Amino acid sequence: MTARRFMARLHTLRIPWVTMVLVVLCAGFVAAESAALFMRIRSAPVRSKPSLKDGGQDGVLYAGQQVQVIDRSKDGDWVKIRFTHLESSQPSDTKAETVTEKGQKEGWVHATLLSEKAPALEAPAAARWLETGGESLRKKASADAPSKADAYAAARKVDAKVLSELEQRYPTADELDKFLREGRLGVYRDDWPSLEGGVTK
Amino acid sequence: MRLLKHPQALAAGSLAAILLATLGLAGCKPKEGAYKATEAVSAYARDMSDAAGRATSKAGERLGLVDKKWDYVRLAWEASPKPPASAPAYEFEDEREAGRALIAEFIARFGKLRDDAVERYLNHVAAGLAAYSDRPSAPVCVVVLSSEDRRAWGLPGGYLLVTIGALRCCESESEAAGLLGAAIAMANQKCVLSRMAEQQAALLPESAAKRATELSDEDFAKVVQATATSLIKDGVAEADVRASDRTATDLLVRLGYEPGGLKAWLARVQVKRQQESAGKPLKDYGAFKTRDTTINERLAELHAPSVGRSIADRWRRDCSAHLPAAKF
Repeated sequence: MTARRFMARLHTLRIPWVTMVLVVLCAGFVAAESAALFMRIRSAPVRSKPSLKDGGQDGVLYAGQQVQVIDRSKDGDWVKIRFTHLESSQPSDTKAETVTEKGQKEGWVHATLLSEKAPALEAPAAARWLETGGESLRKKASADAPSKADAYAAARKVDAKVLSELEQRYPTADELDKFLREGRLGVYRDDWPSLEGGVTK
Repeated sequence: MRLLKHPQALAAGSLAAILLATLGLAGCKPKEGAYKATEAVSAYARDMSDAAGRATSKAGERLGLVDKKWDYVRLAWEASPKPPASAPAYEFEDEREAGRALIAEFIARFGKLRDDAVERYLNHVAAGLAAYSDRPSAPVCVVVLSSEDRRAWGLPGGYLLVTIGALRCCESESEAAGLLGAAIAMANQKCVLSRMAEQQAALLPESAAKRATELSDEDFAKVVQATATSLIKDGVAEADVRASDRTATDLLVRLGYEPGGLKAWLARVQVKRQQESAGKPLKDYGAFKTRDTTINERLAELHAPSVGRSIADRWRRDCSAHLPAAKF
């Protein structure tokens, strides 16, 4: 009689029923709170209203960043999220770049930009290059110890500066956002699908 | 103790506990709206990403999208092919280092186009595609080679090579995006990194297990040169080309470009090749046919419409108008 033995054990340990119920309730609360989703594209603006046209921008969400969904718009296409506002510091020659958490923020994003699985990331979420583009891509090459690729380029008479200039062309999050908006592409496309059917108004 | 003596009372007690716990769980939802929203978005995300590897022409039917052809974007978010398990496991920094050396080698062989406007524009197009790819945080860098060949490669670390000849065959941004999308897919699938490992194993069997970036400068140079020669001479494997074409089509659909952009570019290349061959049958006609069929199959699986944003004006203004005249 396993159940009877278990109950007897509980009785000897003097664990009251109320405590057990409380433990179960807490577990339920934690499970409900920890349902998280991830940003699936490089970056997207977080809006103050569930629309690309109305309201302003309340921050930017970067690839792989985790969010908590707290509400959903009436048409179901936008979700209100709580996210950690990240701010990266300007790297200098002496200091390594740092990404600091600047507290929790709330805002709206299009639901289709979120995924259950975190995307493959080459760098921690909100790495500087996602925000500032090519400027942050290249570490300052040391003249005394050039990288293997730079040494190879020099041997092939290709100026390493040419390569660095090419890398600097990688656009910032703002530049890319402007480019996509102008072309009505990505999140700005006219026929972005709706969760409920049809296209997003 | 009395409870233990009466099994009925014990069962009733357990039932009451379960009931209490259920009520408790329901009461502890942070907010009804929030719970429903998370559920809906999770279900949507599952539809889109968990169907990986099951993308057949029946995919739309299974998701009930046959009558909802607008919803092709959902299908295009199904996970793209992953790099094969045999692909070398490089850290991203090492991958970029290998790609940077290969870029230097290609520039040394062909030279590069120097035009700020073209470079800026193509890098924006490529960054847009990469942002919506399965490696959204991987940066990309486009280099235009001064060659009239019509080719594009995706090197390790997101370095994309495209020839002037290939750009001349584009007539809109969606066609250029198709071309660059295929190169991004090639980089993400680590096709060239695998080729590099093969060349290294052939040239330096004793160092086959090492990463190319761990080799001596002399050996590293040998591997880079052999890889570049092999890519120029043999291109990439047919299976990799097919996978890249599928992923490029997905990227066009995800962004809202004309889904047949890559298909249109291929058709233009084929026509030009046919004109140049003075009526003789093309040696690589089969390859064109295979690529065309692959793209058609993918478009059918996605239920993609035949129209989208082609953006020909911006293409002409920011790129084609700046390309140098063709040398014949």
